[in-house]
Amino acid sequence: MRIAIASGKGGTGKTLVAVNLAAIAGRSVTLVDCDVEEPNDHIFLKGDVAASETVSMRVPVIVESRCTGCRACVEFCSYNALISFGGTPLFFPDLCHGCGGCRLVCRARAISETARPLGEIRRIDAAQCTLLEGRLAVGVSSPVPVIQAAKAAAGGEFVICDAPPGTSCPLVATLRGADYVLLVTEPTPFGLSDLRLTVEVLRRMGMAFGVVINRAVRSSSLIDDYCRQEAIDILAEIPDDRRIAETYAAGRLIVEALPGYRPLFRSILEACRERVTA
Amino acid sequence: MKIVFTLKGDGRDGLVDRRFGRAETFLIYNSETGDRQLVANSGVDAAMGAGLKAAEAIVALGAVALVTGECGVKALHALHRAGVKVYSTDSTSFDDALEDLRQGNLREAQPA
Amino acid sequence: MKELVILSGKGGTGKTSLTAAFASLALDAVLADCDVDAANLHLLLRPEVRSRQTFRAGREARVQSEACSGCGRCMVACRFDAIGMTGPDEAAVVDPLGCEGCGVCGFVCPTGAIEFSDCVAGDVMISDTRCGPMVHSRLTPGSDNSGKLVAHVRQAARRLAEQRTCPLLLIDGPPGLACPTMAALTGCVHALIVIEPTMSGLHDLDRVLALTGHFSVPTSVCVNKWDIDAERSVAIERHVRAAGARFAGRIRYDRGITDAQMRAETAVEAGVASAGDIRAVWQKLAGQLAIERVDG
Repeated sequence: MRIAIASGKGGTGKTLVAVNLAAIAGRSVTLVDCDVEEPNDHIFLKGDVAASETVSMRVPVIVESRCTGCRACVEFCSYNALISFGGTPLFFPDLCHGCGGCRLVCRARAISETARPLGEIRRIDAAQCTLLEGRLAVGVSSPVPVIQAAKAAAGGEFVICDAPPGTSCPLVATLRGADYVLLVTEPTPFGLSDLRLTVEVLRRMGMAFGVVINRAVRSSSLIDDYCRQEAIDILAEIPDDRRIAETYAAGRLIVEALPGYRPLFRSILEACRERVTA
Repeated sequence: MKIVFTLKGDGRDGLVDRRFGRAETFLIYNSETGDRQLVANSGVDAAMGAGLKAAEAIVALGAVALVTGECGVKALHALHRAGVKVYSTDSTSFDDALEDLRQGNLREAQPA
Repeated sequence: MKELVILSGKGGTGKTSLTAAFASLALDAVLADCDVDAANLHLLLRPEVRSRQTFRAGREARVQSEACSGCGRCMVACRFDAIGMTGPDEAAVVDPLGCEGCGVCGFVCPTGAIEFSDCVAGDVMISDTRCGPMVHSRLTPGSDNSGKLVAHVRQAARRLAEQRTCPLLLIDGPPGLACPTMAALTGCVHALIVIEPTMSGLHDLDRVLALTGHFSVPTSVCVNKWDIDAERSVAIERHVRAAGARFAGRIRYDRGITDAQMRAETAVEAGVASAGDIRAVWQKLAGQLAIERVDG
C-alpha cells in the first residue's frame, strides 16, 4: 500500500501526520520525505544515516574545439540554460532540466553528457521505522528528479510519502502512483481555500483521497460542510491542542509524548487500509 | 563605448529599474557620441534565467558595461565571462546614474 | 516608492495574516500577493476585481494522432516519462502532467505529428480592497511554478503604485528560496522574515538571511507565536542580531487570528490579543522605511 500525505500549504500539519502515522505503523513501513527542499521528517524520526546515494541528471558538456558557434543548442533550449556571446555557449546547470535536446540538435557533435548531482537520498534507520529522505542540493531549481528517485528507492509493502507543500509540479511528482492520498487541512478560510486547489489536482490525476482535519475546533464546520458538499471522506480530526503544537515545535512525536493520541493515528491508518483494499 | 542602463517602463521617464533580468527596457548609452538608444527587454517574460537572456542580449548589443541596481549570481557570472563590467547604482534617474558613473562613484559588482 | 517584502522560508508561519494586518495599518499602500501557489491574501482583503489577464507559462506537447506513425521515437527520447503509446492505433499520447515542454519529442518525430502550445498557467488580477489597490493571481493547480508569475504580479503592482503615487508597495512573498522568492525580493528596500520558534524555523531563517544578504536587501526578523517556545524565541533574537539583521519584535500565539480570518478581518481590524504585538512590529518596520504610520 502506498499512501501520500499532502496539503496545499505549508504549516497545516502534513509532516505531523506523516511522521506520527509512520511511528505508529512501525517497522513495516518506509516513510519517504519528498519535501526535498526542506526535509524535516528526520527531526522527529531520529537515527543514523545508514546509506546515502547521489541523485544525478545528465547535463551537456560542450566540446569547445568542435563547436561551430551555430547556436542551435541555445535556440533549442527552453530553459535559458545555454547562452552564447558569439563563441562556445556558456552552460548554466541550475536552469537545465536534463531533457537532452541540446545534444540532439547539435550538428557538430560537440555536445556530450555528464552527470550533475542534484541531491541525495539518505536512508535513516530510526527507532520507529525506516526513513528515506530526499534532499535537494542548494542551487538546484527542480525538485522533481530527486522526488522521483526517493520514491523509487522505497521498497516494501507499505510506503508513506510526505509530500512537499504547494499545488504545482513537486506535488504531482510525489502523488503519482499512490493508492490513496490523505489531505491534511485546517478549519480556517486559508485551509479551505488551499484544500479546494489541492482537490482540483487530485481529481485531475484521478486519485482516491480523504481528508484529515488538523487543529479542529467545535466552532468551525467549514471543512465538514465542504466535504459533505463534495462527497469527500473525512478520516479523522486532530483537535486544536496546544500541547500538540508545543510537542511538535520541540521536535517530538505526538504518539510518544502524548500517548493518548495513539488510537487516533491508528484509526487513520486503519481507515486508509480499508479504503485501499475496498 | 557602449554602456547599458536598466530603465523602468518604456524608458521615456528615464527612471532606473533596479533589476536586470526583469528590467523592462535597456538604454544603450554611447559614451563617445552621447547617443542613447532604448531597447525593450524581450527576455523579461522568461520563466527562469531572465538574467541570462538579458546578459546575452546586452552583449549582442555591444555593451562593455552595465549599470543597474542588482544582478543575480548567474547573470553576473555570465557578464564577467563576457568581459562586461557591472556597476551598481542607487540613483533613481538615468541622468544621476550617468553622472555617478562619470565621477567614478559607482561600486563595481564582483562575482563571488 | 518603497517596496517591502514579507518572507518566511517555509510556509505556515503566519506570514500572510501578518501581511494583511500590515495592510490595514499602512496609510497609503499597494498590495501585491506574490505567494502565488495557493494564494491566501485575498481571503482577508476581499478584493473587487477590476481587470483580469490570462497568464501563460511553459509549453505543452500534444500528439496529433492522425499524423502519428506509432514509431515510438518520442517515447524513447522523452526523459520525463511523459509519453506513452496508448492512443488510437497505438499512437503516442502525452501526459500533460508529466510534460515539461522541452521540445525533444517534436525534434525527433519523423512525421511532424507533435505540436506545442503555450500553457495557460493562471490569471493575474488587479483589484480594489478596503486596504488599497491589490494585484493578485491564481496559479492553475498542477502548473509549473517559476518566477514568471511572481514577476508579472510585481510588475503590475509597481505600475499601479507609480500611477497612483503610492509611497509603499507591500508584498506577500512566496515560501521557499528559489526563483519565485527571488523575483519577489529583488529591488525591495527591506525584507521582513516571519518565523516560528521551532527547530526548523531557525534553520530556515539562516537560509532566507543568506538569500536577502545576497541581494543586499536590509532585513528584519520577527518571531510569530513566540510563546510556543519562549527559550527558543530568545535564542532566535540573539541569533538575528548576531547575523547583522534587525529584530522587529515578537507576536504571541493567538487563536484570535483564526477567528478574525473566519470573519475575513485582519488581526488589527478585529482587535485581537496579538494586535498590539503586530502594531509594534509595524511601527518598527515603518520607522525603518521612514514612511508614514497609522495609529488607528
